[in-house]
Amino acid sequence: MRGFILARLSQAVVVVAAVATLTFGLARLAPGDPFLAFDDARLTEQERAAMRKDWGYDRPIVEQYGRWIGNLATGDLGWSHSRSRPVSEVLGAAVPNTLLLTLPAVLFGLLGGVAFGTWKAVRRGKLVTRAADAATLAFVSVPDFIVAVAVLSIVGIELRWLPTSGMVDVVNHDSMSLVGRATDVATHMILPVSTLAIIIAAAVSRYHRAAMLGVLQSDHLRTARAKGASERRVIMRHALPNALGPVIAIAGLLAPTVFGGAVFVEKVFGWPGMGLTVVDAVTGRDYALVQATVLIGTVLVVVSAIVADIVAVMVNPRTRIDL
Amino acid sequence: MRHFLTRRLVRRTVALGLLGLASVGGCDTGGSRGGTLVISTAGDADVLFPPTIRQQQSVEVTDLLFERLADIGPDLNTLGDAGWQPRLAQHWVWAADSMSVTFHLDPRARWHDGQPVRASDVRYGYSVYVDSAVRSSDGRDIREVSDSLTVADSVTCTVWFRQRNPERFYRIAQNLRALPEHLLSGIARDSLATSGYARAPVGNGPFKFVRWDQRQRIEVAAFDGYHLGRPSLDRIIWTIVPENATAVQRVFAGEADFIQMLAPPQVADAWKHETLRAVHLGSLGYSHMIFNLRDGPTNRPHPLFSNREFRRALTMATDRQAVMRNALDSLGYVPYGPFIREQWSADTTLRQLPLDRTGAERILDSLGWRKGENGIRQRAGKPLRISLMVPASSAARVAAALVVQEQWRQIGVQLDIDRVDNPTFGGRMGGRQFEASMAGVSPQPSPSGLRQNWHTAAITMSNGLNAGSFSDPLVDAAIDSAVNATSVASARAHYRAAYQMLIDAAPAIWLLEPMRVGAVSRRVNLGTIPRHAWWSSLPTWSATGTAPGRADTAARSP
Repeated sequence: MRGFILARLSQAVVVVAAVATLTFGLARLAPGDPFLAFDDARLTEQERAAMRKDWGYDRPIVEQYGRWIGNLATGDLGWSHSRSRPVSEVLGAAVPNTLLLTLPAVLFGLLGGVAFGTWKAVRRGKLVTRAADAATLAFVSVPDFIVAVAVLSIVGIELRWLPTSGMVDVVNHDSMSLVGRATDVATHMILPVSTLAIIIAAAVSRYHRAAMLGVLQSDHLRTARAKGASERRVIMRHALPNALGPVIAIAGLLAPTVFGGAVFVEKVFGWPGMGLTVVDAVTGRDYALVQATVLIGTVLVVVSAIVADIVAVMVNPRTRIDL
Repeated sequence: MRHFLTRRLVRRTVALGLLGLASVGGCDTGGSRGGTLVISTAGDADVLFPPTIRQQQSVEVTDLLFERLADIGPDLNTLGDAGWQPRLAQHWVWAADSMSVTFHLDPRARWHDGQPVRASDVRYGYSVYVDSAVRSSDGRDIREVSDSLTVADSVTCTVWFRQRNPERFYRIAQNLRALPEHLLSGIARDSLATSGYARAPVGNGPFKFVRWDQRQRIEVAAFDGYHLGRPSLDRIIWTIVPENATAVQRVFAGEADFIQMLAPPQVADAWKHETLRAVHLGSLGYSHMIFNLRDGPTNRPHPLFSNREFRRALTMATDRQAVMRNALDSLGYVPYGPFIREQWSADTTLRQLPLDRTGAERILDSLGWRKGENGIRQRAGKPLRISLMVPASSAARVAAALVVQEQWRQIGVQLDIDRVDNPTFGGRMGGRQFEASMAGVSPQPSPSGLRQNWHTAAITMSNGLNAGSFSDPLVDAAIDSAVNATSVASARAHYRAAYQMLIDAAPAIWLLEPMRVGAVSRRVNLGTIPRHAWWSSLPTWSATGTAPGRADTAARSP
C-alpha cells in the first residue's frame, strides 16, 4: 500500500506541475492583460505600460515563470489586480466558501445517487422507474447552469421560499444570534447545494443502477434468498456493498465535475467561492489569481482521485492487482 | 407578430412609466429619517482609496466616504466656480491675478476616527495625488493645472495654478480629496493603493466605512459627526452578485431596495410591481461606431476610412433611430454628436447628415464600389468588407451592431462583427488594432474631454484617446478655442463649431445615448437626484418600514 501511495503521489506532482505550467502559458497567450481590464478610460497606454513594468509583466515569459515558481516556493501566490489584495487573502476567503458548498453537495449527491440508483435497479422495468431513468438522463445531459437557473426560477423567484443569492442576509446577519447566523447561512445554502447535489446524484444514480443490476444477478444473492434472508436484507447487506465499487471510483473522478459545476452554481447563486473567483480572474486577465485558483483546483482534484483510489483498494482488495 | 405585440406593449408601458418619472426624481422627499437601504449591484469595488480607484462601484462608495472641497452645481458648470457648492471648504477666495485660490475649510469637519480635518490633510492629499509613484488619473488632471498647494493655518490652504485654464477650479475641486495624514504618513506612497487603508478607509464624508466582503457586500453607516449634518439613512449596504440579471432579480424578489440600471422590459415590470417604481437617474454616456483612419498593421491611411466621402456614405446609410430603438427601445436617444444631453455644451440644433440610402449608394458607386452578383460591392475584385469590433459584454452595442450590419448589407457593404471580451477590446483599442469599433464613452461633466478624443494631439499625447487617429486642423482649432474660452457663451460657440465639423467629417457614427432607469422600493424616499452622479444624493434619501431580509427569530435583544 505504501508503494502504491508513493507512486500515486509522484504522479500527482507531475500532473500538478504540468497543469501549473500550462496554465501559466495559456493565461499569457490570451489577449489583453490585467491592466487592460481596468475600467478607467482615463488610464493612458503609458500608465498601463508603467504598471506592467512595476509588476514585472514586461519581462520575458521565462523570467516571469521562474519568478512565479520562486515566489510559490516561499508561499507567495502573488497580487490579485482584479481584487486589489494578495491572492492568498482572496483564496483564503473563497476556498472555505466553495468547500462549504461542495462538501455537503457531494455528500448528499452520493447518498441520494446511491439510494436512487438502488431503488431504480430493484424496481427495474416498472413505468415509474423508467420515467425516473429518463429524468436522471435529462439531468445528466442538461448543462449545469440550466439546472441552476431552473431551480432558482422556480423555488427562489416564483415560490419565494428561499433567498435567491448570496451567502447571508446582508441586512440582518450581523445582528443575529449564533444560531440565527448558522440558520441564515444554511438557508442560503439550500438552493446552491441542492442544485449541485441533484447534478451529482443524477450521474451517480446511473452508474450505481448499472452496478446494482449486475450484482442482482449474482449467485450469492440467490443463495442468500434460498437461506431465507429477507429481500431488504439481501439488498442492503449483500447487493449494495458489492455494487459500491464503481460509485467509489467515480466519487474520486467527481472532483472536476463538482468544481466545474461550482463555477456555474456560484455564478448563478452569487456564492462567493472559487468558481466565481476563477471566472472573475479569467475575465480580468488576473494572471496570479488564475494561476493560483487553477493550481489549488488541480491539487484538490488530484488529492480526491488519490483518496478515491485508496478507498477503492481498501473496500475491494482485488483491485490492488491492477495497480 | 406576438413578439411585435410584446415589444409594443413594453414600449407603451415604458413610455407611460417615463411620464411619471419626473414625479419620482426630485419631488419625493419624505422627510422621514433613518433606515437601511440595500442596493443591488453586479459590480464590486477595486479599492476604496480615492486617488487610485478604477471601478465605478469604487467611485460610488468613496464619494460617500470622502468629501470634496466643493461640489459641482446642478447646472454642471465647469468654467470658473459659478454654481459650485461648499463641501469640505466653507468658502474660497481667488487671488487678484486669479492664479491661486484659497480654500477655508469648515472647522467642524472631522475624520471618521474623530480627528479634525486640517489643511495639512488637504496638502498631504495633494502631494499623494500628484506623486507619480501613486499613478493617479485624477492626479494627472491636478498636475496639469496646478503647481503646488500651501497651508496658511490649520483650516486654510491655497492652490497655486500653472496657467489660467478656465476649468482649473473644476479640475481641483472635482478631483482632489483630503487624506488623513495622521493615518497614512507612515506608509510608502507606492504602497498606499495596496495597503489595508485602501480596503478599510477612514474618510470625512457623510458615511463611514463599516465592512467590505469582496463579491458579497459593502456597508457604510451614517457618520453622526458629519459637519454638514447627519445623513437621513442609518446605513447603506451594496449587495454584490455576479450577474446583472441576478442583481435585478434580487430587487424584484424584495431582497434589495434599489438597482440603478434596468433593461426596457424590466422597466415595464417595475412599473407593474406592487412594491417598486422606476426612477430616471440621468444619462450614462454614449456609444459610437468609431472608424480607424489608419490601417492598424501598417499605420498608413486606411484604404476605406481615410476617405471622408466614404465615411459620410456609411453614416447616411445608417438609420440611427432604428438602431437605437432596437438596442434601447424607449430608454435612450440618438446622440446629436460627441456629447451627452446632460453636458452644458450640448447643442440639439446641430445639422445632422441625412438618412439617405440612395445618396449613400451613389457615393459608393462614384468611389468605384460596384454591386456584385451576391449583392456585395466590389472594387478591383475586392469585396467591400468591414470588420467591426464589439465588446461582447454590452448587449446594447451588440444589438446595435447587428442592426447596422443589416442596414449596410442593403447598400452592399458586408459588416463582419467581431465580438471580443473587455480586456481584448481595451487592448486592441489602445493598440489601434481595429478597423471599426463600437466604443462607449462616459463623459465627465466637463466637455473638454472632446480634446482627448478628437484632437490631433490626442493621437500621440500621453492621455490621448483618439483611437481612430482622426486629424483635422480646423477641428483642433475649434476645440482649443473652446477649451480655453473664459466665458460660457464663447466656449459654447466654439464647442458647437467643433461638434458640427466632427459630424460633417463623420469619423464616427454616434448611435446610442442610453437613459439610466433604475428601480427603487416604494418604501424609499428619494432626494433630488443629480443628473451626473445619482449616488451623490444618497445622503438625502431615507427609508421607511422594514429593510429587505429575513428576521432572525433567535435574534438577541439589543
